[in-house]
Amino acid sequence: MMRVRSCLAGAAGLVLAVTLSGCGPSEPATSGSPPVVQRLTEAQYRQSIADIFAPDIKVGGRFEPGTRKGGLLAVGGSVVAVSASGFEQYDVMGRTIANQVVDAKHREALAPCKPADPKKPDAACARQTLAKYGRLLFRRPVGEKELASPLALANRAAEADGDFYAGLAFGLAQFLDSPNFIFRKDVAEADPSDSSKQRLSAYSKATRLSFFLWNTTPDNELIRAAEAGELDSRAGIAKQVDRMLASPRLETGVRAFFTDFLGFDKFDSLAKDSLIYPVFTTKVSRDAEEQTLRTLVDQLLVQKADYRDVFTSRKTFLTRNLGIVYKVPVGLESGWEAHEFPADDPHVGLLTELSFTELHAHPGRSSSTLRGKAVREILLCQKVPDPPANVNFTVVQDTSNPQFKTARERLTAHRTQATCAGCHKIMDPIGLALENFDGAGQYRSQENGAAIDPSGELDGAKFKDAAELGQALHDNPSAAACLANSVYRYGAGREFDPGEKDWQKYLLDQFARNGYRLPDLLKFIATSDAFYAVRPAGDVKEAGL
Amino acid sequence: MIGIDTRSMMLRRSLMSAAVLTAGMFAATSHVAVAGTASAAPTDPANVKARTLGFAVTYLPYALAKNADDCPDGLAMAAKDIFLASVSAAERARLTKAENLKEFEQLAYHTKDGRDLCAVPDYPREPQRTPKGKVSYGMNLDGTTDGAATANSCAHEKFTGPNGEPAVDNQTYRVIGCSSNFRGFPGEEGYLESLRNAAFKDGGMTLLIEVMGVKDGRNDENVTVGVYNGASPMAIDPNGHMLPYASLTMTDDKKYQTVAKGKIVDGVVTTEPTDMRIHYDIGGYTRVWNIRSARVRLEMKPDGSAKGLLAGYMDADDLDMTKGGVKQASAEMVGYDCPTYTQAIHRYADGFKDAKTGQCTALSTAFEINAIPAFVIHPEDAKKTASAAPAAH
Amino acid sequence: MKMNLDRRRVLRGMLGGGAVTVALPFLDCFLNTNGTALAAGRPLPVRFGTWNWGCGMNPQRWVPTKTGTNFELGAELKYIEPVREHINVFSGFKAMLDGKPNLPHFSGVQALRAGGVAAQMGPMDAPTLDVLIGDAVGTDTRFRSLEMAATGDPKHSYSYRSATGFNPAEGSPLALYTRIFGPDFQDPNAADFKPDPNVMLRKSVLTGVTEQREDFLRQLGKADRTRMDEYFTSVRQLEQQLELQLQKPPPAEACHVQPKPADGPVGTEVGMVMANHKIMAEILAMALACNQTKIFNMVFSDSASTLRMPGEQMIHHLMTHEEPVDKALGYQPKAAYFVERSMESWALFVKTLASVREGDGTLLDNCLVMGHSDTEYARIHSISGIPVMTAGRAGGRMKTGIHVSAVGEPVTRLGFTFQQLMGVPVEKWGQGSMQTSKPVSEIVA
Repeated sequence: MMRVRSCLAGAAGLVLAVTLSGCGPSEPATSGSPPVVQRLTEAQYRQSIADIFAPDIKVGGRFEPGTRKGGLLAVGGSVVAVSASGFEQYDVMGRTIANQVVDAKHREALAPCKPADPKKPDAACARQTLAKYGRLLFRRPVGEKELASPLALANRAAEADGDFYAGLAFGLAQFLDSPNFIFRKDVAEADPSDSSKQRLSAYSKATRLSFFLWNTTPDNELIRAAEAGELDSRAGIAKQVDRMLASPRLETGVRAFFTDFLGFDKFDSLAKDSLIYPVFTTKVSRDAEEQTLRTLVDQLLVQKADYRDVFTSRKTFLTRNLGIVYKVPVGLESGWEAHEFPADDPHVGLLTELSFTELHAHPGRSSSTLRGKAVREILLCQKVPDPPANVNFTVVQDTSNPQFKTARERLTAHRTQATCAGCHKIMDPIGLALENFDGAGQYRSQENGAAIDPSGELDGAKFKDAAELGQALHDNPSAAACLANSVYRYGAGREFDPGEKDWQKYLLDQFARNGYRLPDLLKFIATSDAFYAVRPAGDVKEAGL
Repeated sequence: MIGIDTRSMMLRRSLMSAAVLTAGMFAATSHVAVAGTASAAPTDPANVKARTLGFAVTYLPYALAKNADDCPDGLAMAAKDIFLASVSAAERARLTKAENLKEFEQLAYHTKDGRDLCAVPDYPREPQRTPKGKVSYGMNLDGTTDGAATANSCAHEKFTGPNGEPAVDNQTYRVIGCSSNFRGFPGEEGYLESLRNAAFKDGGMTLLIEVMGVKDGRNDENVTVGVYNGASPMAIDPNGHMLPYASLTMTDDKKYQTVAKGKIVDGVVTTEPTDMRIHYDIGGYTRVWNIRSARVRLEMKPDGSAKGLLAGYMDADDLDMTKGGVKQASAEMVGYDCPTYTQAIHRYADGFKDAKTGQCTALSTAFEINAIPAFVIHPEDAKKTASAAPAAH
Repeated sequence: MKMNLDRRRVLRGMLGGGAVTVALPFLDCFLNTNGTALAAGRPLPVRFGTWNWGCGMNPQRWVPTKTGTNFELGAELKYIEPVREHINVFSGFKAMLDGKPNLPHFSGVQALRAGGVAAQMGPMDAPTLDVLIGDAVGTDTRFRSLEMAATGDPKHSYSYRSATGFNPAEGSPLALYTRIFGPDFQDPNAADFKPDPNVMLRKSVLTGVTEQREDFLRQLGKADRTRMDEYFTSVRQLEQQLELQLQKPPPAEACHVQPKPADGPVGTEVGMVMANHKIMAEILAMALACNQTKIFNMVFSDSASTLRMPGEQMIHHLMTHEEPVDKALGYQPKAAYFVERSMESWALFVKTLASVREGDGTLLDNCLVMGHSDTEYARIHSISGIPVMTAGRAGGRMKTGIHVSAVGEPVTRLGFTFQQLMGVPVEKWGQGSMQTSKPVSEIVA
């Protein structure tokens, strides 16, 4: 069913029309995709617990590493399971959380009722409490059948331990150990307007929307809207989307997106050789990550700038720790100070920020190949083929001059050997432009006494240094397309469905039309039909599982 | 503008040749780092924007020449040594036994009538062993060629500098030059020196130097030099070394801010005599040095670091440990015999003659300055409120 | 409901294409406490484990020229001298690609551990040896298996049940210790045993979760059902652990729990890796002696070795490609340093297991450890002659002290042999040209 956006088409409104979000051609229909089952990320798990119970509830335990699919952990979340050791940890976490919820410090505020006698079971109060939290943890109402087991357990345990609250904790733990909490599973139902089709349940829509914009479980207002049937209408969804976009919680969601998109989970294991790069410390590493996220939030949410400008902007935020690495003064003793690099300073845009140069480098050396690969795969969404089969490195090594001074010289073979050049020519020139930034992100004009030449070419656009590379990236259509595609896939938790090809083009058009602004992109996606469209999985077996 | 003006880097680049630009330009932002290699002559000075170059001192030992022929009679003796030399071998053997420690300390560290030696500055002692060599670091502070007395200074013997500089004054060297705790041993720093300089790493001492109003980092007739204690501890890397390019807040206590006129010649900054006060914390104690008529000579290197000399007249009281009420048993730990030192300090004092007593109250001295590039942040810039956390709306 | 464990069903659908099947043995099968693996009457369990290091070796310094028992130890193999009586060395075995690309640091490991090679990089889409063997013999211990990485990174693991069933490694010695010997540990030699009533309740929590399975799987496609089944399998495994906690564990004479290790740093600097490896080896030895598991996987260094030396610009892997071959020495000296540290650590690992007395012999006597790398000569990613060793006697079923050279033979012969030695009723193993039913009889006792 085509969706026609209302549009002020009259002459008087033409100027306005062009600027109205979504005005223009209509949204192409899609057939949706099968429901997804996504494992919560660590951040989502923690935030959900904080929002459902209380921010001071400690989540003690270790989360399994996620998997990237199509470059995103969010998409990988739809293909990962839970290993035995991983589940052991969820079980520990579930018990730890449940015990805190019922402890003396929290039970007043968190339990909706009091037991008649705290030393005995109280079925009614246990039911009330479990029903409340079951609904919040499972992100949908919990039926009698689902309530029966934890309730029986809570009562039995209360009897055995002589303690209502201890019993209650076991009941809660069952919810926390359930895949209904640890995973968010799309639920599809028959579409009342067309019985041959399916639609996502209101709760599934609420869940998808909430994790997309705020990276957490649906709040009370969103749940209320779902229960009242408001999310079945476009207007109802739009109202919630506007509310959520206007909230300070949007920043959490945007940070979560960029943390995934830019591969910041690598910061967890980032280490540098302390002899070669004494400036690098864990503090610098954390500040580097925060610098980029803070800068992006400011540019894209506060300034509402064109996304492509992230590659050309000289404005950022720094701490004193970072000042040491960037070799610039930072007045503020602690905290973040706005900083603008001067017009001809080599620090321009995202590619020259530490979060990029440090992350995509070796512990003791920079790497043009890793950085070039990162630009291609992360920022342009272009797959670089795997390294080739049996490379005979004896041919490659120039043994008469083992000590090449600069990376450009060392990588000559990458460019001149046929088996290597195919892939390396799409990576190395980009990375070589960033060779002025060593493995810890510090600027240098030479390496081993030889001047660094940062010139190169990106898909036909020539550049003479990193600043011009930033401009080339800005101008490259794949950059904006990659962001729009990634935001969609992140929110949907899956790759594009073949039936979404036209819609994908429409998405990119809209992004461009709206000046490549992120809030508009988020709104567009969150209020689209495609985002919620669902169709049955092809190979569902209903009986005899 | 106070503090680093990074925008002025733009203009600075226009002064440099291209070769200079690629050679270590941003290895040392906004510092004279590159000035040392600048070959182009400046354009009209009126158009050049002045900039500030900042440094943080990492090591400030007394500048000691440690000549091989300095101490022919041996190193300076502490109270213990003096006492043991005055008794028979048998007594030496007896009193150095562990069970006789109390008796030993009573005899060695006190006068015959039981007063602590540090309370008796004129207790009879042989004169302090003093360097016999003719060479010392330092500057010509009194303006004379021969060290003869002047209206404000006392007669004393001068040194020649290590590079042949004539008429060097360094009476402090005479007092401490043969003391192992200052001089150390071959390959080993003096114990007191290492203690005090450790303070740079542990936050007890931050000393910042600013060269302001610089239009030409190689030659500039008129610059202003600030020497300040720092309120921020030095930034340390995982290997324990101090990091360059840190932003360090200077003290807001005006007592420890010194500003002097200066000039740059061939990349070396020199200043006019100005009274200076520096504090440092060591072992929980704050010590203050009053250095009168202090002057700085600082060679600024291409890599942004700097090395030089801080010379001036140190108050005799600042050198004299007894002024702090120390007991000989404690002073002993740093090889300091109170009466010997106090007497030496008075014997060698050469500056700031007291009008009434005619006694000089200060001693010419010199410290070695070792510094790395740093951004000196003025208190008003450090106390600004943080830029508002980007609120999404 | 008890299903017969059908190995062929387990192997179907891996690697060669086709969706991951529902051939995963369903939950109930794991309730078999003794499996079919152990011969009747054997008092001490036989354990299987893997130990791997990245980026291979230098053949001229590693591969012995003589075969049989009297082989010489070259410069890189000399480290096993003190423990050579426990070790077999295998040279010349290769991975066969059947036209698929040689994915660097990947194809070799896949062939060795999963019997086949994939066409692209990604998680291994088939159960690895340790999982296959564990399913047969490992169901009566608290942990199905233990995975550890001396590099500190949980992603450094080569143990898979399927593409979605990855077994991450424990990277921190303290966390490893706490997982095994923390509050849920029951000393098998404790004088008195009182089952903790809370454990019953905890088990009930999990039973309740398992009851949600049918509802949860509703509407899901095949791929999602399979991975959610893995989830429920993990739940069931924990339930089984708790069941064991309710019974008095059989005494284990060799079990002596050591105090917990310090909470130290983890990372890829080689000194740190070796130190953490040593601690983890000791914890593992204790865990095996205390019957906490029968299957383990130790990663000393990841396949594309990220080991590094302080002050060196290049990590080990980079060195294997970029360090020039020293003309006089004939090899890359800095890269070779890491090979030597790996061999030194392998020897230490073997010694650690051999130092625990068990029954008439040692813990190592009752182990079959497969030590291997991902490549022969890392510089050219060669997968002919991937170095493999074993340590231990597999409870008497395996001979030791032998060098077997089988140039041109598929590596799957090794995995096939190990499965047989561990009692897995397998008739053949491996994909394509690597399919084999021929054990390495030289080492079969």
